[in-house]
Amino acid sequence: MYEDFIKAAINEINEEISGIQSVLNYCKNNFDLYTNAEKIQKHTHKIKGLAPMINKDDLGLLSSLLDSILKKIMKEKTSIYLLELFITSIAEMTKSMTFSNYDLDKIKKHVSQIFSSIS
Amino acid sequence: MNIFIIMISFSNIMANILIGDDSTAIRMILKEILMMDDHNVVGEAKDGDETIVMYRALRPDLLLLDLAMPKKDGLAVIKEIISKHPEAKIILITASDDQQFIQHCLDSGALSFITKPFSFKNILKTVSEILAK
Repeated sequence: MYEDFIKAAINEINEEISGIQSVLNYCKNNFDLYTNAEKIQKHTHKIKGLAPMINKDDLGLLSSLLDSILKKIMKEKTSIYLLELFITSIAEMTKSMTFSNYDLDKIKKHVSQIFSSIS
Repeated sequence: MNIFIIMISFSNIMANILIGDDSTAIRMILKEILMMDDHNVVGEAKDGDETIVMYRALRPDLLLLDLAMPKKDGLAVIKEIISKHPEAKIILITASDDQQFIQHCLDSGALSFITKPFSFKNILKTVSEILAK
């Protein structure tokens, strides 16, 4: 049973990451990221809740930070220089789902610093 | 986090429970946890509209409800169900850390909330407490 849950959760997380990637594919600049923030946030929200339940705590934390940044963008209705950060983060998230024990520390710290700087 | 910790039974009352969550994985694990404690999962809804329709049709003893769902979010679902069934027992399941929003949901009629990631023990303890009310 637990294995079935893990399989379903991995599939869902991969779908959520693909969902973010699809949105980012048509974001050409930071303003596009701002206008699509709500769509992306729905995906980060799902990953944030599900990842820690399959022992992907770092992925959950990274997703939580991105989630907070997106909420801030939406709340303050502002477009800031974050498209590159999101593109890099999603690439790292994909790797963390592909390779076991993939280290997300560096990107987590970077995203955390960015979040602190805009808070 | 391993959600399967120790098998402890919390239920004095066997209840008919409806799960409203758009995540297949979450519905799957909640169902398993509840059934292990002898509850009966009468339905699984994957969006807000479906949750309302199933609630009306099944009249469960308890609804476990995700806040962020397609079509209608959890808050809209709570308001609609409580307006017609003020006795409804609803527990929120959420990954949100927005305390204001959670409080708004509680003020609208939800009786408790559980944050994701949740533990086996936390689910059964909260379900048991709410059923005993």
